[in-house]
Amino acid sequence: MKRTVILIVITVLLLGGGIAGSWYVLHRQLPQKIAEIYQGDTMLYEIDLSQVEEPYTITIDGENGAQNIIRVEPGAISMESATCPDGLCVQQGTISDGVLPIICLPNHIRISIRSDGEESYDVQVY
Amino acid sequence: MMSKSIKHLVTLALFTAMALTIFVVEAQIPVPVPIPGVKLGLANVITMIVLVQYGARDAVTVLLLRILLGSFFTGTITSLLYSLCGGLLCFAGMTLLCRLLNRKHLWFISLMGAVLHNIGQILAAMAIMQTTQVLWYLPFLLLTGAVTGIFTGIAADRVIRYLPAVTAQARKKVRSK
Repeated sequence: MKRTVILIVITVLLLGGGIAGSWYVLHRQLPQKIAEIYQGDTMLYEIDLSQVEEPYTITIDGENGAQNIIRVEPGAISMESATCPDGLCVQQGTISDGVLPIICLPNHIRISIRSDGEESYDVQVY
Repeated sequence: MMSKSIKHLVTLALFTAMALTIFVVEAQIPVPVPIPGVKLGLANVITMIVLVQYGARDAVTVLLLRILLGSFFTGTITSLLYSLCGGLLCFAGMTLLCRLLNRKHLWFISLMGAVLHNIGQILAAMAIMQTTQVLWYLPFLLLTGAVTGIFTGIAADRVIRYLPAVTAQARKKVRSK
């Protein structure tokens, strides 16, 4: 009985931690809007989104016919289309100044906002 | 009279086939949240049943066969790596917890298994993508893993509860024929 209580407490802590952490990640904003596009561990592009005036697209070809089309707009960036089977990277929508990157795991493409420099939160989680 | 080892082999093969079917069908279910790694984890129900009923050695056999065959059917080499990392970490945690806890806490064993599965996948993604940024996904995965883990644990518990009755009935039917 006592053990069940301990397990329930651990479960509640995990759920609470998950909710608090998700809230934190969704609400954290970075001061600059510099997007970096990586293929594997090499950076292909570095775009200051606040300098973009006209929307345009970037096409990245990968191994085995993999292809990702990235849409760059003034102040925002998104994955327009991808050949990956799940299409999660497209569903992740547009990012602009959040810490959550757009990641296409099957095609090894990552779009993230650069997090160095002044931060609105002074705690680094990792 | 069927020899014991053959019966055992057939049972494990059946469980592997079930796990594989669940795995393949689950891969077709669209996930409402666009976060890589979020899923129901229904195939883990089979791993848990085998772990509780037959022990760790048989469970790891079924798990590895399911992951290998599952990647042939649905995925690529990369998805095999993610599945292996997640699956083995999940299995290690569940085996340890099974020793410490009693079977009525299967929901908790399953929850920790699901959370460890997600942690394993994040570690694999960190290694493959060479970045720590995937860690931002961890809170979401903790949350969804905990919730789905509890439900798959309850499902496995139910199946284990009724399994002896089902197999006994099947045996009776075979005899009466």
